[in-house]
Amino acid sequence: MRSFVALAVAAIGAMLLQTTVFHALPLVPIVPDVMLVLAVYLGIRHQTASGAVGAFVLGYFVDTFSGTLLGLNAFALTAVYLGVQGVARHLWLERGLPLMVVVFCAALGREVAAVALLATVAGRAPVWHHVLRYGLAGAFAASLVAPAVFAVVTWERRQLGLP
Amino acid sequence: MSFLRRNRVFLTSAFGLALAAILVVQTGHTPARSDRLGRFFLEVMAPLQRSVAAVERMVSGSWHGVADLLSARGENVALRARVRLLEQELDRLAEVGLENGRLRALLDFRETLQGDLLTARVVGRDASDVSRTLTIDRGESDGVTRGAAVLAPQGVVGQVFLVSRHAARVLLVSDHNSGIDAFVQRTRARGIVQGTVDAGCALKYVKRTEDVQVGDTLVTSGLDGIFPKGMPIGRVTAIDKRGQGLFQSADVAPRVDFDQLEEVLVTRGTVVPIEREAEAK
Repeated sequence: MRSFVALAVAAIGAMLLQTTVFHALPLVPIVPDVMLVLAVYLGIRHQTASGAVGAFVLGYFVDTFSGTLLGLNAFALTAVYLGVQGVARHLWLERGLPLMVVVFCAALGREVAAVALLATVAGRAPVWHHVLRYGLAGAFAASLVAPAVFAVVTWERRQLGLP
Repeated sequence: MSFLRRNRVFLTSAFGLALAAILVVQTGHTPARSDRLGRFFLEVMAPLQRSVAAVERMVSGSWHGVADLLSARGENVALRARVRLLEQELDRLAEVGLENGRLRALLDFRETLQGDLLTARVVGRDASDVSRTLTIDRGESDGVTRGAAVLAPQGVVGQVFLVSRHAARVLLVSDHNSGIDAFVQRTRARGIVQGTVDAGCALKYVKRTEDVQVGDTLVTSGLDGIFPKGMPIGRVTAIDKRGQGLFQSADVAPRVDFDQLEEVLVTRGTVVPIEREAEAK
């Protein structure tokens, strides 16, 4: 239950950052995808069925505040979770450069998963040139904020008495 | 049994992926949504977004006052306090003046329309770079419904696609899922204005024989039953007649600066321009 509260608080905070605060900052041309970093966090620290459910709910939460297609981000973040937890079983990714690299790759993977789903399942026009233009910059921004997000979530869990 | 236990993470993730794909297919046919969980999330987040947006406005309004205060270290304490108070007051008044100007423009614009219109504040932007949507602080309790047109004094903003009790989300005309029936104001050539992934718009399905020129203004046709007729959408910036098809297309710069938008008007029911009404009588 406390784990759920920790994730919910982190997700609400991340969503407020992404929908209001980052948009108001004049020196932030690309909004870092903090929700993606939370999905990566789940993939590294929660390799359980509830971790997978958490990633799906995070994506659904993003779907409420992004675009019109319900399930697009739920699909992408669940895919990211699945990929990251598979890698995290074999490699140490907790902090520093390994963490930033995995978040960078996860951000690119997320864009590819979303575009692939749009192109195949929903029959929408592919947006590859968008991925090329914003995907790399967005992945770079997400990897920059990842250590800070991990530190904040770890601190938050400690406040709630979680390991 | 042991297979399920051994692969429960993978199986749960696969179930999540399948469920998400089904949701995408189900919601892919129409931009309007009515999922209860989404409405719940929107309702929970709306007051928080409203508070953060209010703090954001306050901080941006007093920022210059704080900067000036830091540069006034050499002056005596009483004078600094006085200057600080006066500058805060000035900043507040400047902010109020700007807000007054925006609201007056909104009011003037509202008086050009016949019908039930509601003023709403923008409290959130889209969570990703792929889509162009806004969150406003009005919902079902104010009479906002799905499909309502959202307007600004400069022109068309978009259309409501998700409503909760006290908030709603708006699909902007520049979103790639958006499409509006439009006229070229000068020649009455008809086409569809669609959003693009680059946050601009494109005019499509205009007959190759029609006269469209760079600088032409595009207005709503009113034929979709959503937007009042004659509302400005944008200006043609480039024309593309390549290819052998029946149609030509054009790049369009939207009239509304969506990044600067703070207040909008939302239609409740049918709205028509007043001049049209007078002509009809």
